[in-house]
Amino acid sequence: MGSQVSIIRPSYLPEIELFRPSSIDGVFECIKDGARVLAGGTDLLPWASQHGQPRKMVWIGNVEPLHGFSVDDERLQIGACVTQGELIRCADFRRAAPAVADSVQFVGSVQLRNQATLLGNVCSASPAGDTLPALLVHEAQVEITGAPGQERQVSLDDFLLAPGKTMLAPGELASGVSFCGLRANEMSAYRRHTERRALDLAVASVAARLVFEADGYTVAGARVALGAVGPTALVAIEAAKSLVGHPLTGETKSICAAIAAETCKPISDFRASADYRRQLVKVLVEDVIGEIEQRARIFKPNGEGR
Amino acid sequence: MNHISTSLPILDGYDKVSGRLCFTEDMKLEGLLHAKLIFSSVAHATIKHIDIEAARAVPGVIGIFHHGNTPGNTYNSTIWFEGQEAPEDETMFPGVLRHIGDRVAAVIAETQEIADKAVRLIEVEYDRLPAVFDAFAARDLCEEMASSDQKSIFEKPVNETTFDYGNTRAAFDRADLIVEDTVTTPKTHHCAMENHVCVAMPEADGRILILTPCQSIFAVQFVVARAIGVPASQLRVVKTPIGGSFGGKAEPVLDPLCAWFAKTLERPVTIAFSRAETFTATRTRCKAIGYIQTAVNRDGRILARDTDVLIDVGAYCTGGIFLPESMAQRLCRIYNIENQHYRGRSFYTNTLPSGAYRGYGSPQIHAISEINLDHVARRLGMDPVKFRLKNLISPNDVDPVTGLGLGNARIRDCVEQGSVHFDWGNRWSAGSTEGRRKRGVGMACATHINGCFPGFHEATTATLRVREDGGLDLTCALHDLGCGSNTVLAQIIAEVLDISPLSIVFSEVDTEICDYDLGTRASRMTYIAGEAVRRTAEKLKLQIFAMASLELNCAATDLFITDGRVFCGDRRDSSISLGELAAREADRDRSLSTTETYRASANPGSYAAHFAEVEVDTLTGAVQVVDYLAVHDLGRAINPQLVEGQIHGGVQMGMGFALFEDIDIDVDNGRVKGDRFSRYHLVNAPEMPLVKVLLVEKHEPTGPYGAKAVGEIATIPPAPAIVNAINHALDTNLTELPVTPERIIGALSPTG
Repeated sequence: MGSQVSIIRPSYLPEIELFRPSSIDGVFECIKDGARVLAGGTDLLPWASQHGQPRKMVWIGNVEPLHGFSVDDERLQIGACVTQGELIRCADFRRAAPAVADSVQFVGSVQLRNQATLLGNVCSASPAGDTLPALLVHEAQVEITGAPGQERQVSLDDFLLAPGKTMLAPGELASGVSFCGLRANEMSAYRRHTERRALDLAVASVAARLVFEADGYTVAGARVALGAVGPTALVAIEAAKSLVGHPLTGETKSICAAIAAETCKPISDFRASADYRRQLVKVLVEDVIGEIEQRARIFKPNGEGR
Repeated sequence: MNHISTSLPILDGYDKVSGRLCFTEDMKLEGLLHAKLIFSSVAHATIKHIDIEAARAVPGVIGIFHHGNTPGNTYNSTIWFEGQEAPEDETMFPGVLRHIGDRVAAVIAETQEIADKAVRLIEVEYDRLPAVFDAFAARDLCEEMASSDQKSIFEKPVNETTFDYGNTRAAFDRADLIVEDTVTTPKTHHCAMENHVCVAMPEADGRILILTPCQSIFAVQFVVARAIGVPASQLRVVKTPIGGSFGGKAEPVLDPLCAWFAKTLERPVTIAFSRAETFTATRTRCKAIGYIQTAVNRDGRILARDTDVLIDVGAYCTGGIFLPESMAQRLCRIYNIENQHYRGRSFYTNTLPSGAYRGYGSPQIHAISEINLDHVARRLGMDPVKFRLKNLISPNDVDPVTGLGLGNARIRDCVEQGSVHFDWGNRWSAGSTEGRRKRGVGMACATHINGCFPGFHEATTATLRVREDGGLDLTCALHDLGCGSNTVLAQIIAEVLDISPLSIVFSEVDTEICDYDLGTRASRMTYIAGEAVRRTAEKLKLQIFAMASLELNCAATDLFITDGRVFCGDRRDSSISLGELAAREADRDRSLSTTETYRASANPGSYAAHFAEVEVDTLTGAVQVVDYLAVHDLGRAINPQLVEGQIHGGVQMGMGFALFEDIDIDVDNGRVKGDRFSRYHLVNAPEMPLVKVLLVEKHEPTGPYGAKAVGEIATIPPAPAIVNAINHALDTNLTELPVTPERIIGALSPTG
């Protein structure tokens, strides 16, 4: 690691060793040495103020491959260093994954999004993490690198274990996230409720991705995921299933919403009660499906609509 | 003369935005020691044992202080002069801890990092005592204690104030309608940008110099002297530039400790609180629970009102002694009510102590009374504006309790002009809209005071001296809290003497050079200090004319000043500059200067009416304020832009009080839930509506150039106006602040 080491020590800060390697190999040397991974740092900073400043950190921003970002029709691949701001500004990304684009736009503030990475939001594994439900409905896979050359893909659902806890083992690096782009007859969206309009954490959030039959309104496939109403973001399998084979009507939407509200596992805390969170899930599921309907119509100028 | 009613940019604005102004935390001092405090983790307990050995062994630790090695002198941090009476129940480090966040010990070390590290090694054992977390429980406990021989902080209310005039009972009996409400307002926090901070250092002569962003240097001097047991003459206090206060820095919290550490260790010491510490270990706005009944006749005339307020002052008395009376005062200065009864009681609880906070009781009592008045109007089926206009006071009416005049009180103008501007009649009668998102409009009136008269020594002494360069030196303990009061005072002086306001140099606010002053509180800067500097400048002007008449050989009555020069009548060729006059006086071993003390003889009301439109999502409870108009009776706006700034900030704060802000004590264990910005929500820019401001400028004869206060009143009407708009939109009667989305959904659900 020698040549990549630099030590930053302003007099008013505790002693920190910051490593800035330019290769994955260099990153792993530092991780093995006990360094904490630093990408955007927006979650690390508040973490450090509560748990104490890590003495060794490895900044991965110098590793060029981790900035990789590709969008093709089938799958999007986002490297660990790609910021949320970069993603929002990319029109192809917004078209390919509208729910993820929605969710990214809610995170923090403009300044935070320009610094924070998408993968950072995933690895923080907050129950209220905005991008998690959206990534779940887009069938996200997290790329875990155990050592140079040793990579495995884990579905996001499996990756998230508990509040702040993921499958990432010591010595491993989450190097990227990939997920499905929209195919023909598909649409997705994400909505959340917060007390404030910005700079706030979700009290409850919902993402959905629907596949329509060729008729344009019967649901052929559905994925629904919920945030801030369980220890991790949850995939609402039963709620999604209830839509399949049916056209979207007031009734099918409200059945789906009711099942989602029933099956989620909210807690009462300083932000909201469990009952209120269930009510929000109900409202948000209907809102999200309504949004998908509207978008599907706009994206299909020749479609029949309803 | 053109310095009044102009928007002179705030004097230290450039230094602030360019980062040149040196705040207390920016000071670099040789050998400065850093303190870190340890706070109680239990709500009520005796300290059984405290183990400091491990902390003491840390290299770089210079001293450790706790209740066992510091003076146990009791004091009350709200007192600002000898003889003011308030229970003295605070000590630097108490042996019995009264709330989570109470001070247990402090570590002083060579660096902040060492202090932070060492403090974690201190171990404290507590003997827990029963604790009380809300005012109702405190009231019940007081009643229990009264009949037992146990002694506790809860044995009696901190204070109780009542007034009763007319015949309230009889008026209630003949009323057509009586409408009652219980309105609750939360404990809230000031959230000034700058956290609490203080520096103290020994001076060569053995005295202690305290550098502190404060609202009154003399209060700091008094309280510190009391707490550490030295004569006030041993303390010199200098106000440093302040990064906001809103009342949070009105009471010396850190200063006694900091002074004691510096005195004992004979080194400069600083205490700089973090945000979390400022939230949990300083002061709050007290929580109030008001039970209010209003009796009216069918055509909307208020016959009588009965108000009973429980005030939760928290763990220490501080200003809780004054709050019941402050709230009472505001109830008598805005509506003509012939029969009124009031009882205000403040109780101790094992929660954060309250203190001064912008409005000092006014935001709470107006929330209570104005939400209730809207309820009355709703029950009468009457337009709330018309209902209020039937009952509002008129100019020169008299406060029925004190018998003092209210001055040129223009609340009726505010309401009338505001309702026209807002198109109130049409928007109100349109009612709420159909569908998921409902809109509604609401309004509220408010009054606030101008200074402390007749309560405390309401006076300001200022000294003005003409410098030889023609500018002025002003010596006065003027605590500009960042709102621009110094800018306004410079404009007033400049108007009298027609000089540039930028040529006035303000003295340090230093106990060693300034005359005694109450400091910045009670909305007294423009109205009291402004009149004081105006009179001083007028007196100086007479002195200037007396001298110039000799120099110019001209009758003093023919003289006038333009642009820093004295002229004689039409003789343009005959003039002398103020600087030359000062130089000639200096030649005669005299100074062209004057000192004047202005004592207030009135306390007119400032008034405001605010109008709000909200949109409420009936499925999630989310509230958006979509339109806002603030109308203010302030006599005259000396600096219109600063006035608007005050009002915008006041609305932002009042909106937070209405919708989000709540320190929220966990009733199970006394823990503070809202102790960080992610849990204590302030209104940010995306939530703010465009705030329109309309000023009613009707001369107040006792104010400088007709001016009255605006700083505190700006934050009083927003909360009731917004809550009333929500109740109008939803046809609800929400009375518990903050009106959060969840509370709204609760009220809309069939069981709510």
